[in-house]
Amino acid sequence: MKKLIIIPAYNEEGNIHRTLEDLNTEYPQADVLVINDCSGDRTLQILKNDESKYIDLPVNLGIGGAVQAGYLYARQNDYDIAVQLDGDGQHRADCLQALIQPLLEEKADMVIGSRFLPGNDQDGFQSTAARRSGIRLLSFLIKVVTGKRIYDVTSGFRAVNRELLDYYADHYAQDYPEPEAIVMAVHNGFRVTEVPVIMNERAEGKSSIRALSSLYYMVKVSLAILVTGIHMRRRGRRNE
Amino acid sequence: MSDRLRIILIFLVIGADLYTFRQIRRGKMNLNHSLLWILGSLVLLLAAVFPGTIYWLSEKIGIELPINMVFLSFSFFAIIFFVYLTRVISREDWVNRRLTQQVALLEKRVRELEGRLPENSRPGPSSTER
Repeated sequence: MKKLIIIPAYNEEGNIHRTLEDLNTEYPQADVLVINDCSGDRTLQILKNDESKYIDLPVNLGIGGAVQAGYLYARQNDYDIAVQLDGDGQHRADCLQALIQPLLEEKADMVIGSRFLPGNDQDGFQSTAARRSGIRLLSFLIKVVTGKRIYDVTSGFRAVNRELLDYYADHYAQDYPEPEAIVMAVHNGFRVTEVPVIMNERAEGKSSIRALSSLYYMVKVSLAILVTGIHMRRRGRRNE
Repeated sequence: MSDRLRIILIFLVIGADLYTFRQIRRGKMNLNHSLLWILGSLVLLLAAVFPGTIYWLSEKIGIELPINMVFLSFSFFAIIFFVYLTRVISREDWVNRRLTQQVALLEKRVRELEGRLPENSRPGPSSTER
């Protein structure tokens, strides 16, 4: 089983080294690929010094395009499992085994590391109340559109199997892609599931979602979920 | 529609088309992307040469001033063109993204292959210029 951990990194000079070290000690059995999305800071230098595996995008593509480059790499190099993990230290390497377990047991095609699963003892970083209600709204929308309840829809900590990474290499949402990618997966007949994980608060730097853009985020993502849902449902019917 | 307006319209259309054709000949515009412009301008030209068509149409639709018919149809045309452009841009966006990803993946392969060569036989700079 070849496993690849994809880490999109944009201006993560303060976090990337620690993230890589953490992975190296906690989960050395997987390959790690960092996607430097044209960072303006010392991220690239750090990657070079650490002699880590990285690809260096010549122009800034945003998180969607960066992650997709990782899936493309996974496909070209015959990986069986691809894990997406943020470069900001929020996602913990000690949760990796639990994350990919459903894939190994072939119980799911995609596993999302979730902070909000019911029965989860709500440990670790739970985000702010405003964000949690945004996430709840998106979760509800996805439930309406796909019929599937996913709790932590914006979680960037996720693992997919070979079939889904192959699909994502060609079709991946851009601009805040996480919730939309779930809808695409469900509508294409992939089995999506969640496992409880603990997340840290990001150590340094800023989240890509700031207060001012959060309205744009909600509108864009809601619309994307609806459009993707309707579009896929139609296509699904035609194929039947 | 006054004769003066008709003459202005005819000159404007001819001028715009001449400009478009010159840009196409110089390779600065793509013929298939400018086709919609040329078609639209031809319709406007016809309307200016034969204003009877405009009078007839505006009466059928129920527009009191025929000139408003010209405005209305032009805004429709502009909207269609914008939608078309959005499609073109979206496709370009995808093409650019895939090229960027492919280039970055190739850069990684080249970098790693060069790293395996003995120090003195490495060709050129080890990373691509931006």
